[in-house]
Amino acid sequence: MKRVFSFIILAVISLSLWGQDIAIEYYRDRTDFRVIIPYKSFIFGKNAEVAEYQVSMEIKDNTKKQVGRHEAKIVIYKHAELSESAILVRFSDTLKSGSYVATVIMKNLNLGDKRSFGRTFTQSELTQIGLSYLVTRLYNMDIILSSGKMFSLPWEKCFLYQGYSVPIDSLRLFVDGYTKTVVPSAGKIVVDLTDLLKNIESPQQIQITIFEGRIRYKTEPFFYSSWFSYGTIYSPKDQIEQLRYIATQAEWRLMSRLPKAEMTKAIDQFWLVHDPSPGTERNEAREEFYKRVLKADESYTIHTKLKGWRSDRGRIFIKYGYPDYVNSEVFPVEGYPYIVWNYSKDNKEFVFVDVGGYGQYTLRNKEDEE
Amino acid sequence: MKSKQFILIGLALLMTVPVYCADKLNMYITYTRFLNKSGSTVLNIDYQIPYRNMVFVSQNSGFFAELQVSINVTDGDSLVFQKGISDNIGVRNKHDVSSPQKSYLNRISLLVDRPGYNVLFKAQDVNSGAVFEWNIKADPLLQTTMISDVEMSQTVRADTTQFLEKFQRNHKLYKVEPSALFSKEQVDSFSLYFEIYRHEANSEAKYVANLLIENDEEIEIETNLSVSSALAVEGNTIKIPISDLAPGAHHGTITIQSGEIVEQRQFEFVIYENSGGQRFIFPDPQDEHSLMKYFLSSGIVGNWSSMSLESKRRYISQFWEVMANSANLSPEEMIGIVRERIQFADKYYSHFDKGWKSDMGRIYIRNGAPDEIEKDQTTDDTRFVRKDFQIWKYSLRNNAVYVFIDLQMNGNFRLIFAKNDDMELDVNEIEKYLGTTFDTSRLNN
Repeated sequence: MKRVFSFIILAVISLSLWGQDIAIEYYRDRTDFRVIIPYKSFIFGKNAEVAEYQVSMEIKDNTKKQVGRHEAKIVIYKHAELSESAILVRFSDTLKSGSYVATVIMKNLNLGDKRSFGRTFTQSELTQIGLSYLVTRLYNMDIILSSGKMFSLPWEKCFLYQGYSVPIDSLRLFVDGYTKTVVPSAGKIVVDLTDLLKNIESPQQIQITIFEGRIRYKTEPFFYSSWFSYGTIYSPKDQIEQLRYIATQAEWRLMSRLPKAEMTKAIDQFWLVHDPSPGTERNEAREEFYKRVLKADESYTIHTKLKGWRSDRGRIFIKYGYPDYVNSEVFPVEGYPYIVWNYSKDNKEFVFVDVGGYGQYTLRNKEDEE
Repeated sequence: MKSKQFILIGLALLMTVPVYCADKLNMYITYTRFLNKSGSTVLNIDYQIPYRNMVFVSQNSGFFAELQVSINVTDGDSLVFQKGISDNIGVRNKHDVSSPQKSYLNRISLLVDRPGYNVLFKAQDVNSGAVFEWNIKADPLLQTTMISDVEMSQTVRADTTQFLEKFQRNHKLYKVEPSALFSKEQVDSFSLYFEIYRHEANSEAKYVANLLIENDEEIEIETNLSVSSALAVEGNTIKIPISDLAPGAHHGTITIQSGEIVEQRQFEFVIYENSGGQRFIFPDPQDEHSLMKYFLSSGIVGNWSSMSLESKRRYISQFWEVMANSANLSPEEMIGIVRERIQFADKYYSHFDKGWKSDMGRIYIRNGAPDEIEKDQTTDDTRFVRKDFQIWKYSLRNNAVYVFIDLQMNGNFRLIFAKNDDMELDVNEIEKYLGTTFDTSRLNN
């Protein structure tokens, strides 16, 4: 009975959305894989303070032939304050250009449960400037903190990892008025920030400027955030439909006809074109879009068939973000309940009315939407 | 050769920019004066800053530089005019940032109503903080003047776009070259523009105009200019071919005479050549022409055969630059990749002719190595003897699939099938060469 109950619990957990993913960066001499696993997805045995996992990654080419395999054993310590953060596992391989599938298998060495997740990727152009990983270390765990809890958690050491393929002159880090400049060596930048950050009580802002000749790339460290689960929540078809809100007519015409197999590639291509900071792996517009879709779902979903992102309010929120002013009357003396969103910067106002009385607010002035 | 070139460029800078310091923002600036319809002098200040002299930030889906320009006009101690301009300069392609050919051009026009004004121009690169300063004594042209200043343009061409609208005259773009540097590799000629004025007092008088271009040693061009006797304002555009001008500094004079009154306008420019700057793969431009066709669906320029060797070289250089831009590579990287592929094709696909000229070579040069190669022999189902064939599949390049067959059994594999490649003709001779029993699912990708 206990086993059956455990199985049900595990099945429920495996069906839930973890938000784990594999970030991949291609450089001349290697391909870097960063497996990012939400801390709360690790399962501890009863009264256990430690969970041991074996993380293995298989890489197969488009003929389904295995071309790489990597393994790492990680030990996760129970720490309630880490629940919003993620654990980082790093692998490197050398792959020639082509299409591949990377599959990560996580095996709980204590409880025996197993789960896997994968990602299809095409290795073609080199990553110019990779994500800036700010990794804190606690009890030998490599942790990516969440943006909301930056350094309010315990940590022993802190490193910044920066991959690149362009000829970088230097990297400058600004932390609350403190500056540290490093010159790269051997195609990697690894900066030990332990001493710098220990002197700053609670860092509020970390900015990175990367210097390449007469070009400056301004970025921020990568923090784990709820948007990271976007890719596992929405199917490529849903993602394409969501892009309809912000795509041009020509882009939508092209994307709406794509076969399923080409959708992921088309989504990546769309965001490549709409990258506000070309050259860097980070795409701020994509992150913001993901955050908005997730927020729209969280706020306006009525039931599983009336997803928040498909609703009128969800669509407007995804397109325009948070309104500057909200005016509503939920129990009007006359007429239907209504909500008015005002965007003063765009000089726009959207009126949503709940005609059915079940909380399904529909947009009344569609003509004002662009 | 290089040191000579630097000297020449330095000389040109001295002519156009009074202040040029390595630790400051380096740019080119010049001015010209014309009379408007009411007889007032319009002072055009043209400034040009090479992209590689500015700092760009990766943002807003591109690379952006910002130039803060201010103009202060003073009359003695008194500030009589002030204007601030913010020039936002954006490029999509990263390699444009360091391109020696790309520069930003702008113009500020002022009305000068009396002598004695001092114009202070100041420009600051917002991202680097580097500053450029320049000042002139801005005297107006005499109201009775017969001729304006001389403006030098790299190109004059039809243009109805809003881009560089300030530099248009009658829907023609006069792309002014404040640097006064003209490269033999980039242009065949440059243009002079000046205006001749006929006032009421001399409306009947006969004008004689003459153009003289000389260097330190000799007179290179001397020609009489035709002047209309009917127009109050006559705009003259004169094309100066640079192929016959020796590299170095040149001095030009336009003289206009009416009776005993003579007026002259001087201009200076530098011609330079840098053969190292040319980009090409094959010594014979005809080979390059064949190679370029691999990458162009719309065909090469129509008058290729009548172009001079220099023009062909220039076209080829520009072609590789455009190709590199579209692939987000530097021209050197682009040429390096193509060169490697040609070497590979020559090594493995040569038969009686060079490998790069074969069908396999063409596909290899354009797409690189296929992700999957299937080698096989035809069956007895065809009306030919058994022949080798290869299926090439790409996981990139739109999942393109090609089939080649060694028809003459001499290593010259001919393309008999192409799928998902707009650059190849709609070729499908599978049935003819591989037989009706060939399993076409092998062509799925």
